[in-house]
Amino acid sequence: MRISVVIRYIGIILLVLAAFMLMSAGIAYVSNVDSSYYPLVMSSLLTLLLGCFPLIFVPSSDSISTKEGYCIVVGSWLVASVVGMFPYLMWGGEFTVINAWFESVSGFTTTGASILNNIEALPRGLLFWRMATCWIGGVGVVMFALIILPSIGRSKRMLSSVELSSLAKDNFNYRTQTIVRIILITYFLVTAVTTIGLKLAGMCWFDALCHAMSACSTCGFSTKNTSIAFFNSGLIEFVLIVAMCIAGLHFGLIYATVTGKHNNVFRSEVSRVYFTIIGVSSVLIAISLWLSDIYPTLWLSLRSALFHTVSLFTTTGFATVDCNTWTSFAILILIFCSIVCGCAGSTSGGLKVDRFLVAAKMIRTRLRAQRHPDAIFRTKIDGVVQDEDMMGVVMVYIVAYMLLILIGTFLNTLFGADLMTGFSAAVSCVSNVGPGFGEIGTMSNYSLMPIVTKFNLTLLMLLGRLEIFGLIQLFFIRWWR
Amino acid sequence: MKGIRKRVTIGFLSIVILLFFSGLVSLFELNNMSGDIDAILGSSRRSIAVSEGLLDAIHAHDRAVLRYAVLRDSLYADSCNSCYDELVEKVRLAREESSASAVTLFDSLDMLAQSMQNVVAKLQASRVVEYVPPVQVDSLAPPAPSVFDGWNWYNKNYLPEYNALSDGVLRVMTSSQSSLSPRAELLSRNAYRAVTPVFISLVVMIAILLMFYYFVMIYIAKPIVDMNKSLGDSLKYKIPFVVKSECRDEMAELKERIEAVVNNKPIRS
Repeated sequence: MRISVVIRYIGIILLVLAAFMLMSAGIAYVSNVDSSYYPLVMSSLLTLLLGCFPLIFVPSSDSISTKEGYCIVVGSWLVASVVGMFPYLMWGGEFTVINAWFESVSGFTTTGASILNNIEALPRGLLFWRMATCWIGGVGVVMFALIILPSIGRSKRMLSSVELSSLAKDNFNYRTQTIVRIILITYFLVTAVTTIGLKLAGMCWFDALCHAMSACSTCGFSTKNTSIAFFNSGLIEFVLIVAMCIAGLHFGLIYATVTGKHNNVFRSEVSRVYFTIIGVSSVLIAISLWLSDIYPTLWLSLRSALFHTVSLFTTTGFATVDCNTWTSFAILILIFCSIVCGCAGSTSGGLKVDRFLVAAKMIRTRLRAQRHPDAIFRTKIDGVVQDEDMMGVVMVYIVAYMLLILIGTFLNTLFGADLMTGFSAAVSCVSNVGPGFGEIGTMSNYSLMPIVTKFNLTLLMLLGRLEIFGLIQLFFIRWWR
Repeated sequence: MKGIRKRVTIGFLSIVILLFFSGLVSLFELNNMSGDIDAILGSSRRSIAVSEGLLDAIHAHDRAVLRYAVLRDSLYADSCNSCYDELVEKVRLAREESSASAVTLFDSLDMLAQSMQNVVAKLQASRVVEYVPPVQVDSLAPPAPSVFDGWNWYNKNYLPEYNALSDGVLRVMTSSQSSLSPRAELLSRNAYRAVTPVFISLVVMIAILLMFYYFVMIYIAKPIVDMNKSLGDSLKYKIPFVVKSECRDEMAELKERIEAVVNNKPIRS
């Protein structure tokens, strides 16, 4: 494996980050040169230098191996998270080293979990950088580099195949170049339309842009301490529900729907299951809330239930109320939503509806096979017979995912968290949701967690984002030989 | 300048620039911090001087009143008034130097000083201090008017006013000191900011140095070592000259030329 090539590509990704830091510094400059201007300019210069250095020595490479591709992708996420700490650390305030690391990882992995007690105390430049980290992370750090830098050439195929899971590629029947372009166009358009929608709904331009970036990357960072509850507007909630729903769908399907292609959102079995889960969960939660007299009317119950179901199901994490006050039944449904999450090929994290569907169909096939031992049954999705190996991989992933949640819960409770907080923190971080229940509810944050727990949770976020095996592989010495 | 020399020079220059940059940042931040410390110390010194002046003026007034009322030295009647004027002037000066948030404290200080002076003015107006009762020769004569008890007047009328005014000055003093604490907090944040960019620059520099070492090793040192070994082997054992390590720029040219000499291959133009 050529380490120099890996360093070169990570350097290119750092250049993209430096550009975003400079953009945030621009925001700080136009906001009367706020206190984040200097840290952002400094950070961008350092990142630029760090990114440029490998380009001096290492020549561009036309082909890269799978191992190199893995190292570039995983290395990029790790290095981006480290470099993303620079503006936070230089600005100071609530950002200690572990807090800056937590916020940076949470941003890039689009988890949206925060350690900040007073978000509104942050200057605009830093708020924008916070949103930029999640916006870059939403589409994938490496994908962003692939989108912006056409010079990568033939290596694009390898890098995109490592960054995008095999499930995510299923709905793209195009060349790599086109896939990358589709993702770019869809992501930009959805963000732009959401920004305009939020502005028309009553937000100022800055808040509209920040919340649109956060919603489209399914991150859940807000510029306000009380998240979306601050705005207290049904129209804003409606715009965000639509934006989050779109961001949780496969980008290829959105593109196909907009361009009038045959395999669109309405025909896809996965997207039908996606919308069914949202609808059924929302109605069940609303009825539960209404019957428990938490809300006076069914309409209010439905409004809150729909917003939070979409928010947690798409792994965004925006909030309008404190869900800790809801019924246990509602909380259980929300935890289920936090585990299953959006579709593959979207910006959301979690297990993905695609895998959930495959697992459900495999269970059905197994039950049918028990009734008719001699019959041959095949598992189909959208009329396509699923490969046995692929289904095996899906089941292994689900088991690994559950195991990771179990280990996370164990570690969280070991370091002092109660069962609900520990479990929901593990689910929330592995699925990149953000808020959980208990001490880390929708209106709370992770600031009170011990340092060790904060670090463990960042590892869970990275493992969840890199779909577990990507990161774990790097720790096996045999893999490097 | 091109090839290896260019790359090594650019690499070296970027390290120098980073070093210069981190030095510049630390100098700039330390300069800022020094300015902040000077400002805080100056402000603290000024506030102590102002409070000291106020307390001195109150004590001078107190001494004059003691001499006038207790020791019944009527010459000090004017001194009481001049000390009061001096106190009022000092309060005015202190008000000018203080922040807007301390205005209410100075208003109350003005009122307390005025109240204290009113007590003294009332005493002066009664002229009981100047009154000396006649010496009684005949014991059967009617009793003379009661003698003015200065000490009693001082304790009952003046001392509470004096204490209230002293407390007022103390409040001004503590408020100006407590107004420094946010600035001191800012200073600690600035100290953190002064150290962090330099620390981060150092971390980046270490990363760049490690990369520089690694690239020099694999693109310069390793090809030279490999070429030397392969050339030695081919001269000694007459085996073909083969270098597996990646060669760039002049290294690639050198490798090609040695290959041409040893393996009798034509040199590419």
